[in-house]
Amino acid sequence: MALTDSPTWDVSLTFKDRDGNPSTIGYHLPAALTFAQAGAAMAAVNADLLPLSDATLVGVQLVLSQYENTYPGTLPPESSDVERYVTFPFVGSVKNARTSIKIPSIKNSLIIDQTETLNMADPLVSAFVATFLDTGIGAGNSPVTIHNQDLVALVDAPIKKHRGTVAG
Amino acid sequence: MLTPDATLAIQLVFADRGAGQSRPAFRLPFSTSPSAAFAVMNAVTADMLPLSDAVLVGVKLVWQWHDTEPSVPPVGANTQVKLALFYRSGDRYESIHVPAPKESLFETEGSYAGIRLNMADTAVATLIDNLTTSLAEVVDETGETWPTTFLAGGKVL
Repeated sequence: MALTDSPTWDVSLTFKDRDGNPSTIGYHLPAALTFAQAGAAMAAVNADLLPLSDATLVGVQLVLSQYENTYPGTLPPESSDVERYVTFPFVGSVKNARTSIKIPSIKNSLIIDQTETLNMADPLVSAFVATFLDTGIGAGNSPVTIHNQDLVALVDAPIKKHRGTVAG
Repeated sequence: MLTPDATLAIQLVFADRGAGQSRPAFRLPFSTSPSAAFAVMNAVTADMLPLSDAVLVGVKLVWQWHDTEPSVPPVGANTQVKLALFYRSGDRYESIHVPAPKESLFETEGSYAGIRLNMADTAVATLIDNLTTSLAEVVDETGETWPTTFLAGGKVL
């Protein structure tokens, strides 16, 4: 893996007209800007774009990326297949708050033989679950639900599934 | 009015040997800094990658704002119509396309009525000058400075 920083922040603006038809435009800002600086530059551009349009700005995205610049330098093994996956379901600290994370191309060696169930006793699996619940980096630095609620436990043992082909 | 979401999304891009891709994601508090978000991403993927035989080929940190009660655009607002603004610097050209442009921006007489930006109108010229000034912070996808000289603008259907 050799992920490289993108040279830019990517800004995406979504407008809607009176009939609800969306239109998205984008531009880039230098990646050297801090989050606050990028937000301020974005706000300045947007403030000068809006008086030109009758449409309503309904959504904004600010994106910072890393990408594999040597791909396919690290060629995955023949057994890799992103359509084979497991989903880890987690429950949050508030009642009924849930979230999940999918792991594509789950290794077959982690599936209990003659079942489709992930082997929760495997130390690699338990290590991932523990890290997802608490990265150990400090408060506020672990995954949360979409409503920003802490995750407290894994709900069920993941089951191996396959999705339909969409690429490759 | 745009308000920030409660969380930011960390989107991971995995690829298999056949170039098929999957994009699992998880979330962190919106206030998480980019450096902290990358640290969390590294911690999670360090324990995630040993479970998968695909490779991680990309990561996106996505902060979003939404207008939960957007105003209703005026009658005639149509996002399929664009205002194309062209900029130049030396032999480099760039453009930006603004959806549903206001009709008051365009010439009202002559062959280009309703099509060409009316730069003779000081109000229109001021709006374009303002945008050109704020675009000074903008770069292209490689990080190169955006051209700063405004050339022309017109309606694109």
